Amino acid sequence: MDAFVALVAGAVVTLIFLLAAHPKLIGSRFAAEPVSIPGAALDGSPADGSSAGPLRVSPTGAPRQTVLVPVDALDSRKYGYLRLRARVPADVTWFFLWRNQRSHDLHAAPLFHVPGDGLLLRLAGKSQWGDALTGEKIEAVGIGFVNLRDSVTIESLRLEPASVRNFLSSLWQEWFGFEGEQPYSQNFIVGAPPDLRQLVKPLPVVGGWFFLSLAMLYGLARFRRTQPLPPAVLLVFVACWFSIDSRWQLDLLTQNRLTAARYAGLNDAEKHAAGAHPELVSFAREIHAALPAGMQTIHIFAQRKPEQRFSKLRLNWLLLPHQISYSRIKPAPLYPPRPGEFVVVLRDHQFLRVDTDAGLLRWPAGTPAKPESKSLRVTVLLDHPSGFLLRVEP
Amino acid sequence: MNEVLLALVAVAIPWMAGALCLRAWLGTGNGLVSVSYGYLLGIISVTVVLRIQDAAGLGLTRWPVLALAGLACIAAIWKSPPRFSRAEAGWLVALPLLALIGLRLYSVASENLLSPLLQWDAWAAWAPKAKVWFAHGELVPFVGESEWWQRGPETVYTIEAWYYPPAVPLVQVWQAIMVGRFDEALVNLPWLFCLLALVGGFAGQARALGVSALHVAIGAWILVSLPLLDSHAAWAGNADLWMATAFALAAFALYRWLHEGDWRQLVLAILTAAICTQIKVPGYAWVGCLALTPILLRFPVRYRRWLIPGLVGLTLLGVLSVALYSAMNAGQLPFFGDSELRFHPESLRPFFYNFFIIDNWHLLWYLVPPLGWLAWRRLRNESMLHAQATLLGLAFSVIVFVYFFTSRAEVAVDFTQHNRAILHLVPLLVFTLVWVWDRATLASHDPG
Repeated sequence: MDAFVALVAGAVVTLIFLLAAHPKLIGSRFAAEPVSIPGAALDGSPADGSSAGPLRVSPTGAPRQTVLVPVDALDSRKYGYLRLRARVPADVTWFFLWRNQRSHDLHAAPLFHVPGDGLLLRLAGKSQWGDALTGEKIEAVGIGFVNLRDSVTIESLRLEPASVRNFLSSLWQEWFGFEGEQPYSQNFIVGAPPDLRQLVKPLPVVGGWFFLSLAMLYGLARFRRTQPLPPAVLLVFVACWFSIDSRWQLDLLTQNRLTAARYAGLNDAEKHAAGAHPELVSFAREIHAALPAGMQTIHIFAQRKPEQRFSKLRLNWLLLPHQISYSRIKPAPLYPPRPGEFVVVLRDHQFLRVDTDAGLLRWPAGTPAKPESKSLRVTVLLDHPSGFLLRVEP
Repeated sequence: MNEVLLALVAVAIPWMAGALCLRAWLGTGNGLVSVSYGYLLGIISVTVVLRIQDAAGLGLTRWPVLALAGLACIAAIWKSPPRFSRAEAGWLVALPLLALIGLRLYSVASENLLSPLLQWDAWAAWAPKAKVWFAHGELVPFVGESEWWQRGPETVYTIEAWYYPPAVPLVQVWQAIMVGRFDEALVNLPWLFCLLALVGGFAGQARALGVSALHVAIGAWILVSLPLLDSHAAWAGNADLWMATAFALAAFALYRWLHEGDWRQLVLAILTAAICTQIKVPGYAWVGCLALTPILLRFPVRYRRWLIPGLVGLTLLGVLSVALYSAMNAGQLPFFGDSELRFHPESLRPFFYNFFIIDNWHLLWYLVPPLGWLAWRRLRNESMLHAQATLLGLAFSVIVFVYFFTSRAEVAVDFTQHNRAILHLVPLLVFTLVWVWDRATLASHDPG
């Protein structure tokens, strides 16, 4: 009984702290009439023919799709929250977009997924959107999607003033919203903070609740001139741990559903194609097909930039068990390929140029010490949007 | 389905052999200890047999391992037919917690069995060796890039992590040999069971040291629910879960040896400590900590007043030597490469952030101050506490040295590494916290 009383009292005190801090946390109070934007207004072509209906966005195959609507110099300082009603599967990567009146730059902030169809976004406060939105006049708002595979529906956008109710709802959604698949990110495995930054992190709040509840328990015991019973302390701990763990369990269950939908019943090659970076997977598959039978020696030339580093390591994995080296080129190959060996050059390499007409792989003159190192005679075996496969000639 | 079955058999055979042999050797009252330590010893023994096969020119086939495992099982069953005592099943009382543990394991297993290799280090550093060795049917060499280029047409491979120890890739090779092909999901199945072995070892050794069944169940739940630990079993392929398990099992056995004087626990500690060195380079540091702990604890009482000044002196001498070495070798340190010894205050933020703000460890680090205070108040004369505190202190000193005094601070600041090093120590910390709570509240429950 004592543990229950302590937990409830601890929760109430924690909530009071949060509510007392909320005007400071979100910047200030806002007062304005809500502004509603029907989904159809986002691109002017309503699905059902009316100008106030929802908008259905179908995949076009483009890597990025956006829908935007101009707004009349909307003063973002007056709106603390954006309520977005949309039906978007949990594996879709999507962004809220806005264009500032001052710079005309298009900004994007990642959206997360919550159960149901209403997402409450916090525009106010410092951390979630950086400083790009708060305190700006906005000339356009919209939604962007990455690698959209299925149709999605946007019913409406509604800008709402700050209120205690919105603050608590958005806090709840930020805590229990699915933080998104990060299949190639190291975040899950190294514990780095996710991109989406919460206004208030749940861990310190639960930690505060834990210590406040313990203090209540000790206070009750002092009042009765006894010591708190260890089972009561244990119960407080278990309740707090269970609360924080339930977030992680819900996240895992959502992830389980997405993983099963994406990968169940597929073999390795199909899983690679169904996962992130399908263009690299198709490049690797075409390289495998273009190479002669048997183990070949392949040099992957890439730069130090993060995207190229990822691509070369990922290609290395996909091309094994061929013998592969992925040395960096800046400005000349440190370990030059020999005749009969193969070279993979990524399309956006800053220094290397493939001259398909002359059959040469070139790098800028004057940089390598030896003049004969400025180019290699090659045959182009594959010209793919992601890069080239070349065979080195004598 | 056949392949999933074969992958499970691949895990089960060395596990059964290891568990039965240990059970026969340790005797009754060690059921959970045998099952959990048996997994690690069994699966790593497979990698040793594979290396011997390769050296003997037999190629990487399944039959020698199967034959040896079968012989071991028969011998162990003949010596001691498996039977669990009533006391060993005592910790099963906490059924709701077990249900939560089961739900978590379902989620982790679901990811483990369906996901391809997703994590960067898994496919960039660890699994390439496994894929190549399985394709060639032999342990072809991995070398640095310059040597690779010089050796020209020879069958030799290069990756950035070419010098990493071979045990973890060989675990994947064994799975692939049994399944008959390299399946990115099924080669990672042993990670799931590694988590189970860790939890089983924790529970078995804690029970053996007298911790109540309820507290052991809570400890197991804490361990299984830690997000970062889960993620290493769910999106498997990194070596850190193996490192954490081997280090923890070695430490738990060491505690028991120090507490009970049972030499067989010392042998277990030595074997699991040896496994640490075969998993990752930091394993050598953890073995050093394990070796130093009994030495420090057995220090004669009459010399103990010299212990702390002596340790401080030795530390200063060590730091000076390393600094001198670094200065004479253009800032190069062994294992740390290009590094300059200086204090990196910028590492404080990522450590604090990880412990108390973002949810990688739930409330674990919030428990340290109150339970530390409780340990100091009620248990400061207990030799078991001294053993645990010494080992944890040594291990955390290594972490502090690496991430606060060398250039590795960079990988703490960008959050890419320090949490994985902490992961190696977390099972020990959970063990100590549970033990402290259990001992400090001993009067209120029946320790049996």
